[in-house]
Amino acid sequence: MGEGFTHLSAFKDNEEKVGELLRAMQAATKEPKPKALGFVGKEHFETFFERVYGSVIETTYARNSSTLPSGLPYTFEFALAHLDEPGHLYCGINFSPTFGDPLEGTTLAGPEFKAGGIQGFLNQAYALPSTERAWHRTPASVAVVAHIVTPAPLFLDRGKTRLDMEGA
Amino acid sequence: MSKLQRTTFETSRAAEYFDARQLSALVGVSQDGFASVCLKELVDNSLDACETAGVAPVVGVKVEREDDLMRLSVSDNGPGIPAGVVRKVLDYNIRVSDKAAYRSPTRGAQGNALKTVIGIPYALGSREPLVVEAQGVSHRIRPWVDPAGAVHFDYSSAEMLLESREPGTTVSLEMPNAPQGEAATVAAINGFGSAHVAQDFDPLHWVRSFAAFNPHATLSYQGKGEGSEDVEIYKPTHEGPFKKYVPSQPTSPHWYSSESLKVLVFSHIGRAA
Repeated sequence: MGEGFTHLSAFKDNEEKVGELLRAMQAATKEPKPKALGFVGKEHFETFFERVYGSVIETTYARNSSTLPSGLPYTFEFALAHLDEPGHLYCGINFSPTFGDPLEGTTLAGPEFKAGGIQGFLNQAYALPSTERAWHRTPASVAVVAHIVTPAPLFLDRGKTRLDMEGA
Repeated sequence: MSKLQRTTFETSRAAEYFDARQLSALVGVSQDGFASVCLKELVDNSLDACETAGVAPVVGVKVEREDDLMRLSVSDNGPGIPAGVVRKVLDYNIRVSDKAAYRSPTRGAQGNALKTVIGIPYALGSREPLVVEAQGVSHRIRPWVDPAGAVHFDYSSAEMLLESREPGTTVSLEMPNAPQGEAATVAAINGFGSAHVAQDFDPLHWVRSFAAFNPHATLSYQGKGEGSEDVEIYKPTHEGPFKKYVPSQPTSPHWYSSESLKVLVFSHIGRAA
């Protein structure tokens, strides 16, 4: 690869060699485990729910790490608190809240049903808290946090909300 | 009859950042979400700055509503944005970002966050300066767009008095805010067709959201308006360093494609040139 390349400027007239550099770097390093991406964790979400809503009946938490079709790793964590009254939905990517549902347009499949996006899935499960989409239905007495961590998220919109789960 | 010799004029695309409709297309958020965009971008920047410096983030959000005005201020305890970077941000022909070319699990990588935050108040009709206080310097930035669409800045900076200096960065801005519940567009107020737009803005929800995703940070919210005052403080629940990727960590080659690595390599080449 790039015999005699000692400076990045050598790639200026050899753009195609960047691919070789990438393959060499990948061969020489271990792929980071999804854990390296970090996550928030159950304990913090429990504390957060108690801090915001006071009385929490029960909190359910799940975390899953895998890879996207592009090969990039991701971690998805999800916490749901049962409350005495409707709470809110908090969606985030890489430790930052989003303007809406980052998986809107992505089909989520569970053992009993599938639905579009986090809000659609919660709605189908009668577990959608107070959101704009819950106008036709009494909001559920829950609060939900959905968090995705992934390097180089690609978005389908300029508002950096809807993730392209198929993208590279 | 004499012939018109047409002149080819060049118009900067910077004006996109100062027109509400174009800005809305640029950031992908409707005009009634502009206050939320400012808050989100500023808090993202604050958290990143603190993490990069290895400091446990302490971020404060203040929102004051008074009649049809809203003042937003975001402060942090990071190293403070250097004066040179503030001035570079005012060059709308370039993107100033230390994240855009890298692939890592970090918050937003738009590379135009502060440019957007400077543009939004103007686009909504404010003519008050945006103020950045950092590293002992107070920067006052008042943008204006001439009728031909060229963007200008009335920029001034001043050394702050020792007693009023705080660590980190504080960004303060003011924007018009039509009363909630009114039709989104109330009245055009200047020659560019900008209008008072009722902001669909729930700053407390945003602060809570940031608290939900950042166990290592202290986030405080102070909201004033209509004779009431709300204060909420979220303290860290994580003892010691938080185990998450921080922007100062190396990125992995496994997170790049050939195309994205080319962007990084040629960004370095361009910077060195």
